[in-house]
Amino acid sequence: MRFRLAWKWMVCCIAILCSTSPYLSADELDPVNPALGVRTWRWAGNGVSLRLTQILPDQVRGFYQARGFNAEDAESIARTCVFQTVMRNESSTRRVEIDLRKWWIEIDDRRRTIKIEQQWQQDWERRGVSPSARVAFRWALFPTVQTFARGDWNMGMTTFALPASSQFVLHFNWRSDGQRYEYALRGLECVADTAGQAS
Amino acid sequence: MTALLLLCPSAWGAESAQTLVPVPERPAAPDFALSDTDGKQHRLSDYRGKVVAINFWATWCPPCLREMPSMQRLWERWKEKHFVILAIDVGEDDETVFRFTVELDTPLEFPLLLDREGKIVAQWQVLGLPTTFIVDKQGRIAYRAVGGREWDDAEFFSPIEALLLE
Repeated sequence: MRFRLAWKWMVCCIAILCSTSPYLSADELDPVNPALGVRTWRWAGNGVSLRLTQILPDQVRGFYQARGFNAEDAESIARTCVFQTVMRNESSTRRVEIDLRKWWIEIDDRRRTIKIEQQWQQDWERRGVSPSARVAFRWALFPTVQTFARGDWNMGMTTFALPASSQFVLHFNWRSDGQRYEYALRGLECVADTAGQAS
Repeated sequence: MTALLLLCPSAWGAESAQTLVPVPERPAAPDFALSDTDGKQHRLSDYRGKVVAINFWATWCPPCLREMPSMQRLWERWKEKHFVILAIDVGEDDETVFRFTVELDTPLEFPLLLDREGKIVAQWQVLGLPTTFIVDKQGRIAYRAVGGREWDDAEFFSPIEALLLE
């Protein structure tokens, strides 16, 4: 009898967990990718999931040099703490609206903003970067403003204008059904730049 | 216990739903004329009377590449029934796209168009790659999907079938 009650209690708990888990929040840190040595941070809750994975500076250099950037301009991106960012609307009905200009980072008790595409494009205009390279840059970056319908998701690079190995907190937010949600992803770390250290 | 938790996909960060989002009031699709990788020109308005999937993509975009084989299977399913796919590469040249297609395990038989300067993708107000629109027989945007999908998932069959029957 006691066993049956305990079993029923456990099933109830799991049922509650299953029914509410999209609305629970959680920070997760994946194991270090053994091939590349990069780390991933995940967050999920309130019908949204967010994943940030470190991108190695050498990957950034290679990617942009193959798309029309000269070594100096590609270097300026590679030294900016770049993450591959994936965001999904996991909700069953709601639209999710984000604006990276409203996201912010906390480092050493100071508040800073994310370097967004429009700021980069001003740099590229000043430096005379070719139009085709600028098109590639625009599509590789995580868009500044986005609306995700049910099932929509997107991935792209986010740049944080921080030195290699910096540790910071990302405060991200979105709007859904007229309500604003904000959470913090803690313990993020810009990947070390081994090429930069060697030079 | 473990089995019960495994039956609870949301607890394990399952992939997003395979969804097509209806576009309210079906606005007219912006017309375009673009060359494919063989140099043949395609004008969207020439496909009036057919259901057209417009897929914006790039060779360096991982979810774009992941969805391509399923897009080919979707095309094979309805190619005889007035269904067309136009996959528009954004910002790359024909050589880059050609090299990409050669390396694919699944040959792509639908046209791959080139929007080298990104003008068409801007007209369609795309924010991220891949983004796919389904245009109805009257040249109106009926559905949109942002992010990669498994296009041969049964979830997509009934909305596309309904458009083909309109």
